[in-house]
Amino acid sequence: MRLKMLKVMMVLVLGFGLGACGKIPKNYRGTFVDQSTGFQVQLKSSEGLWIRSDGSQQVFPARAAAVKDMIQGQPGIYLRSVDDGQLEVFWVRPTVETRREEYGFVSFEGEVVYTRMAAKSSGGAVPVLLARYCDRGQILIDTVSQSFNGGCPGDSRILELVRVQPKK
Amino acid sequence: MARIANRWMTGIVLGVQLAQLVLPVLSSTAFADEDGRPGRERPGQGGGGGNRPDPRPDPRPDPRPEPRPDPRPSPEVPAGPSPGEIAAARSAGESAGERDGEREGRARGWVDGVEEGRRDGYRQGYDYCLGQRKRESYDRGYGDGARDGSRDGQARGQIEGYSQGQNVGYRDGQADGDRRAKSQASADAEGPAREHGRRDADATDSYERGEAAGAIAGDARARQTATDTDYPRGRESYRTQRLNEPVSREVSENLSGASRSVAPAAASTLLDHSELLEHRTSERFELLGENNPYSDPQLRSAYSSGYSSGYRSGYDSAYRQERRRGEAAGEPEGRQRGCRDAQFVDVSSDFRRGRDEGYNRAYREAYDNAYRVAYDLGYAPAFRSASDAMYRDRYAGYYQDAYARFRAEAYQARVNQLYRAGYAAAEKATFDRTYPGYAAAEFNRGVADETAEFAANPMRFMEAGFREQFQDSVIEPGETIGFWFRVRNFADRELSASELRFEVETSGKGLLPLRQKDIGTVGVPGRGAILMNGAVPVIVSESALNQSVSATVKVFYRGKLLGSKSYSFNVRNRASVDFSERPVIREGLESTLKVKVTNNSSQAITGPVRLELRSDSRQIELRQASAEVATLAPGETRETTFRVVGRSDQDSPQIPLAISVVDGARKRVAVKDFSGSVPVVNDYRVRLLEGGDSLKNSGVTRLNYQIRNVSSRLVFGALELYARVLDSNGKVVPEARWIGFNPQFLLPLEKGEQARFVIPVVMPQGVSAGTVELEVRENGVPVVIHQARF
Repeated sequence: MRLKMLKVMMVLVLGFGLGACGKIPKNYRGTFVDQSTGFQVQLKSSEGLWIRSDGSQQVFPARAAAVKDMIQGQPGIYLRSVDDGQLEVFWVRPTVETRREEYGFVSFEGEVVYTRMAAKSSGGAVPVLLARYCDRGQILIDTVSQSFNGGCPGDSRILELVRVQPKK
Repeated sequence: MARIANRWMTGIVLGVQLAQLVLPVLSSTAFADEDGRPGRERPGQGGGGGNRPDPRPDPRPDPRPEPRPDPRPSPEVPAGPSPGEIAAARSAGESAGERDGEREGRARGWVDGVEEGRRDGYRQGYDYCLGQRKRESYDRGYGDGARDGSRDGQARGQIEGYSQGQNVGYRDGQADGDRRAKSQASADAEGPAREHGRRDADATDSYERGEAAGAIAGDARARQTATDTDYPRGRESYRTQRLNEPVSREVSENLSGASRSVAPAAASTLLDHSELLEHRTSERFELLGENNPYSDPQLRSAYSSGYSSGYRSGYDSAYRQERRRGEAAGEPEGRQRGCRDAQFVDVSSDFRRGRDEGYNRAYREAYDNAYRVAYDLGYAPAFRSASDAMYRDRYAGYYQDAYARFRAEAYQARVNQLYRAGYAAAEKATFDRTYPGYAAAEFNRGVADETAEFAANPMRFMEAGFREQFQDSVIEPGETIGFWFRVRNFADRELSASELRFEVETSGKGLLPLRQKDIGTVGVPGRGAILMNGAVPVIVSESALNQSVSATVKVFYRGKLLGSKSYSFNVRNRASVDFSERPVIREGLESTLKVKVTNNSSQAITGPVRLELRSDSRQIELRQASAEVATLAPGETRETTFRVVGRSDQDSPQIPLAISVVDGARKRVAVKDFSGSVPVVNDYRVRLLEGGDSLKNSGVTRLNYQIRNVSSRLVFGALELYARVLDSNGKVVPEARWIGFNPQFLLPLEKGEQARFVIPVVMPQGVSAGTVELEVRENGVPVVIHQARF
């Protein structure tokens, strides 16, 4: 009986945990701009918007490290928990034609923005967000272990995204 | 919604109908028998029930309710009782149960309460009264004892104090008188006694006895002085004379011939009550099975349930109330009984205890006070009389003793003074008079003895020395040391050198004699000398490096030791070699080890001086194992470098390294053994966690790696991973195909952070062994190259 209750509790905890992972932490929500490139991001609880310097825009849903969406090459903001209470944020827009699948691995190239966020909101709104950006980044997914890794080449750019204060 | 409201309304109507049916029945049948007799009395209402509870209260409604015909038509009869009927049954059960419970609770509460009250009261009364009696008895005893103790203590204190005071005063007084007599007698006797002693001494012949003894001593000193100084002087004189003679002819012999090769915790009424209640209630419910007025199972059940609940409630409430009253009623009676019983307890022991304690305390106080007063009264007079008597008795004796002692001391001192004066004068005069003659005689004896010695042993050891194999003032391992000797022949004829023998004694294994002894072969000319070179050579072993070793060389002539000389040598290499800075390596990347070599000798080390680095560890790969520097002048230091690649993923592995230095003639001149830890200083540490062994098989292999940032830098770049499979010859296996990307990108790792990643590879057939290599670049620059064998 006790074991059964423990299992039920674990399921509930895991369920809530995963649900929480798919949200952008509260103190990171808002609009941020990189002054050098004009690159702008708008972060909401469950989605993010890119506005490039050329004015093009794209909305990305926030996903709780849903590897299956990533395997399908779905663009999105993939959040993954790491040690010390942080979230790794992979903001990915895959280049569909580069997608390959062989031997249980899926790989593709695309635009990648990578940053980190504290998983629990503490303190006030975050003023600056540092992110690494590349237009030819990589994502390699191991469909067997349901894990993935990705990165940018050595010459990738670092975005200093400064929070835009809302007009009063 | 309408359907739910309709059901509620139906329920309410049925409930009202049931209440109309049941309530009159209950109200008219409570506590009535079946035949219509009046209801039974409740406990405590007289009727002979007293305070004993009825063990089997009957909760049955009596007489049984008879169903009345319902005047209203009932076209829709439900299959079971309605909720209202069930509620009514439960309510009826509760009322009946509560009455029964209340009755029984009241009865049992009163009985239990009175009993408990009596018990508590008895205990309280008994304890209180007994305590009071004991205290009173003790107090009476204490008073009696104190009176007697005070009386007895005072009497005994007076007697014993006075007696003891007298005894002690007498003893102290005697000691005082004795001390005064002794001191005064000594002072009075000293002067006259000393004068007497001195006069006695002056009348003796002490001075003359001193003179006689002094003369004897002076003569003996003169003789000894001549022997100790003039005899050796005579010998030395002759020896010097001989040594200063010119050497008629000196020959030399080189003995360095063939050399040997040498190898190296009571119960609570309430708790009992609760358990009892549980038991009785259960018992009662069993009885209810036949007293329940309902036949329908659901209504019977509801009635029983309500009865149980009501019974408990009624019983508990009534029980507690009656119990409290009973306790209050029973307590005074119990207290009186307890107090009465306490009057019969024997408390004589408390009287005795009080009496003893009072007696002892009063006795002690009275005794001490009386003792002190009486003691003083006895002490003083006894002291005074004893002291005076003792003084008078002892003075004369002490005076005589002191007089004799001072007289003897003065006498002895004066005698000694006179004796010393006569002794000193005579001793000096006698010495001065006799010494010259003794001196001359001893000098001549010395000359004669040395002359005879030279005649008997004409061969003399003169000096010795050694010669390095390499004349650079450094005794080094492998070097041979040759000793030489110079011996003179003071005879007029030539002596055979074959009776000259040379030996060497060495300590430890640091010096190995190439020959144990040598014997000369060349004759030593009359009044000539011989210099022997290359005698008993020794070789310095490798174990002596950086140690001090010693050797003693000895020269014998005809089996007699002519002379010896010891030598100590600090063995070191001609040159020293060491790392210029602590060696560090980088995994997979080239590092430079700086080495410096110094010439410690007084001679140049001819170049090219070659340095060789060696290691049998697989944790380091020597890309450049040798280096050369030019000729090293004496004291000169030169630096060179070696290129190495680390092959360890540990932080600081132990790596043995050796550096040897040889000169231009391929002779080793320095060596360095290093077996310390060598820090691996890459910014990243890579480990292959699993998958390496699978590379021996063809097909897909997942290489699971872990990478950790171990640097101290604050800014980090993106990482690129380049993987390669090398065959056993170190050649890239081109058929090995990488899945996904190669290079694979990895996001930056912060300081202290680590990550895991997978590098999938498809291996071809036929590669059974080799190495998988992972190169990590940060911002395009290689930072670590990790190799794993399979």
